[in-house]
Amino acid sequence: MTQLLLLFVIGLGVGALSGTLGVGGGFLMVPVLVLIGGLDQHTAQGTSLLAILPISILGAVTVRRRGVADLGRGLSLGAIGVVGSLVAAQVAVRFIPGSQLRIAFAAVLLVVAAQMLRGARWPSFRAAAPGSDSKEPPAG
Amino acid sequence: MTVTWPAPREAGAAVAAGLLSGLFGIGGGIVLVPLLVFVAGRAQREAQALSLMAIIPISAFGAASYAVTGRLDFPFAVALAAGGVIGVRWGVGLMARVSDRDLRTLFGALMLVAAVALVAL
Repeated sequence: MTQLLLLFVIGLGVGALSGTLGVGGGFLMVPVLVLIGGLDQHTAQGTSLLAILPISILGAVTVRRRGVADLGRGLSLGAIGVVGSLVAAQVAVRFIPGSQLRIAFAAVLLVVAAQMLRGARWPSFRAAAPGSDSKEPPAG
Repeated sequence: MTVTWPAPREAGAAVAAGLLSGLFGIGGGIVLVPLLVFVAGRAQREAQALSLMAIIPISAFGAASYAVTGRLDFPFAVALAAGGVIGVRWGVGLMARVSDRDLRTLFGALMLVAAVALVAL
């Protein structure tokens, strides 16, 4: 029971980050489920994905109300992502050991973080990116 | 609701996000947001909103895929999600008040923390 309560409180924080930064929050929930929940890496990943679903639905509904992005566009993007997800989930469960997944996960995060911080320091980098059709002003 | 199919660049970003989502049990937003910003040229805020939406089908099918192999703890997921659905509304409220540039700095910082925690713990 204490464990569930703790997970609920952590969920509040993860949800807040999810809404602020547009991520599912799985990168925080997976380690939490391993360390606090005592789950193995693979079960933690499945559980994380299940928790992300209602969070992302609520988040998408809330963000849509602010008119930041078109729901149809977001969902169709996700539908395409499903293809990759279905393949990868099977590969992860059957062929890749948990410890290697953690290290690969961390490596991905580091690379992405470096890109993000670089982009924040030199915003002109983004302006040079081709294929932009986003002219909408930020919601406020 | 009009369904608008994404440009090839964005479709590629979505597939990459889906792959990493399935591999790591994440929503895929960590990958999708920067790809939408750097490769598809979306504004940070719009990329984040699209990412939240895209995560819905990705996490739904991902969870189902793990459930098939029995890799899922239902009570833990409910506990996390119960807190999450409350927190996410606070978060979206905050997102609307923070500048694109600051959102991106926050995003990068969070990734660094998460990466360090993952290796250290």
